[in-house]
Amino acid sequence: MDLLNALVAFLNFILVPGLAYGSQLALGALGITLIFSVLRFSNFAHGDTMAFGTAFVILFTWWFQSMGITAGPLPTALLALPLGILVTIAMVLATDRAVYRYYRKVRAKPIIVVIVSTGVMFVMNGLVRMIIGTQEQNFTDGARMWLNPQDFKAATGLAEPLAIKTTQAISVVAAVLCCIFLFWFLQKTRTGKSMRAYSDNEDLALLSGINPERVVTITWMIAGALACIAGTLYGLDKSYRGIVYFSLLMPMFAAAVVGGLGSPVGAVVGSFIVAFSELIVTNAWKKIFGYLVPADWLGDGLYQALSTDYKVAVSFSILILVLLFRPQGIFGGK
Amino acid sequence: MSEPFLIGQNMTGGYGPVDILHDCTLAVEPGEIAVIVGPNGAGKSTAMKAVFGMLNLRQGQVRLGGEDITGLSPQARVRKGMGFVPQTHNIFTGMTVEENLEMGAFIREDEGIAGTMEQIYDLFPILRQKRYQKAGELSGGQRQQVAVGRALMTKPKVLMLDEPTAGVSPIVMDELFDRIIEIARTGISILMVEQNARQALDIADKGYVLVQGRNRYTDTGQALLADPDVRKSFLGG
Repeated sequence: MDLLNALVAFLNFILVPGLAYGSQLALGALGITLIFSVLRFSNFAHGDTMAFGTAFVILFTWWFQSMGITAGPLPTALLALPLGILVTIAMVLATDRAVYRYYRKVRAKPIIVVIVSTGVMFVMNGLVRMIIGTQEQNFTDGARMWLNPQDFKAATGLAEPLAIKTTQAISVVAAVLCCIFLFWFLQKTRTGKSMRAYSDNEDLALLSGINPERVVTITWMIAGALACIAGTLYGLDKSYRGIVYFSLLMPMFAAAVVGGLGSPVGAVVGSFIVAFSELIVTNAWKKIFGYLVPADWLGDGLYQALSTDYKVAVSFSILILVLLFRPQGIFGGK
Repeated sequence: MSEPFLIGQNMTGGYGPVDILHDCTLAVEPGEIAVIVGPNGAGKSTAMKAVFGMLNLRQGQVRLGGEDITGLSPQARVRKGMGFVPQTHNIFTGMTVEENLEMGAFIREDEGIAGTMEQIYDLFPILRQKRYQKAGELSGGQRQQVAVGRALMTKPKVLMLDEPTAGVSPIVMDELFDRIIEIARTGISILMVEQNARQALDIADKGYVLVQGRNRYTDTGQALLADPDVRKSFLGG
């Protein structure tokens, strides 16, 4: 029995990656849930909006790098992020103008707008391919490790290393900052409250003189900014390929639904539930168990419930289970 | 006699091609309570919604303080000083009582919002006690108070209430009527639709009995209560 090493292995393979991945999902799921509560449709284009924003962050990163501008130990992409956010916001607002506004005007059913968003998804997907191509792009620079595994081993004398990548630390910090800002905005500012009021009772919001177009615009701006941040963090942490962002749609929707569609707190909690579920199911537990029980008990198996190739099945199962047994989600969405 | 403060005159119209209102007239003076009663489907709510601009009139006019507001949207009428409390979905359930009142004052740019909120808390003391509670967690009567309070936040000159006592107990109903009288005493005109005709006419300065979208009887509340025809047909004897 070696509890300490088991704990470190758990931290290294489950907790740290789970927190980082959950943070990235949370920023995406928040955008989905905001759009759902204000515009009342499930935005299937959200994953590709993330890919679009990230593509521009990468382009700006390359531009900065070519001019010799870097952020020292931090990724240059963080400097490029504000520009990427602006482009993403411009894109979602243009999309809203050109596409969604018409369907709002004719008061189209949500299901129609969902299909429309699927169309937007394909267009956005094609644009991203034209802009940056389909191949993998690596744009991470700066210090790779925030906590170096060798340093950790040397400092603690444990056999198991603990590594925290810079990008993982940034993901968590960025998610915390974005959440604090968003919740402050929604709870304390007049504009944020008007967004909640509009989402709560559209007709009464109109009677109270709240301008729906303004609420919609601000919602798109926030969702676009969050999508760009989430996509960039994910791209920094893993690597960038447009198609991967499309498959992020499933875990993000699962997260938003688990928490309760329309509930921002729910989206955050749901994201961590999904992230940790994926890791727990696809992790090979043999290493961690190896420290807890005698080695000959374990045999040759990896103690892995599912191969990582099937991780999307985890969010899919969560989605189905929640929709079957608690469709309103943990925090009672719509 | 000079023109009433608010008047919907000879209103004819409906939601679609079929007219629900036929040459219907409603009016109210400052500080007065006007009550619209009548059988189910008489177009009571429709008549009030017409005054508030929620349906298109084919004929007739709505004038507020002498100004023709027939072409204005409901939102624009709120800015002109009209407050409306819908029958259902009249509060923001997920927001606190105080936030509901704040949203009621959304169009106000002046500094006096906190003062108005205090006045509403004085009028409905229970709301002060529950100011940080979500409005959706309150009882039916308390929710109606939130709804009325929200509409009062714009400091309207006219308050329109669509069945404010629907679904509340008789005791709460009396309480609400008392509050409505208090509001009227501050000089606000009240125009309301009520199912509880007897009690509503009892507090009404003016009563309108509508039948099939037309004015059938118009008189003071007391006179209508005393009228044997009205009693027989609409008040159950």
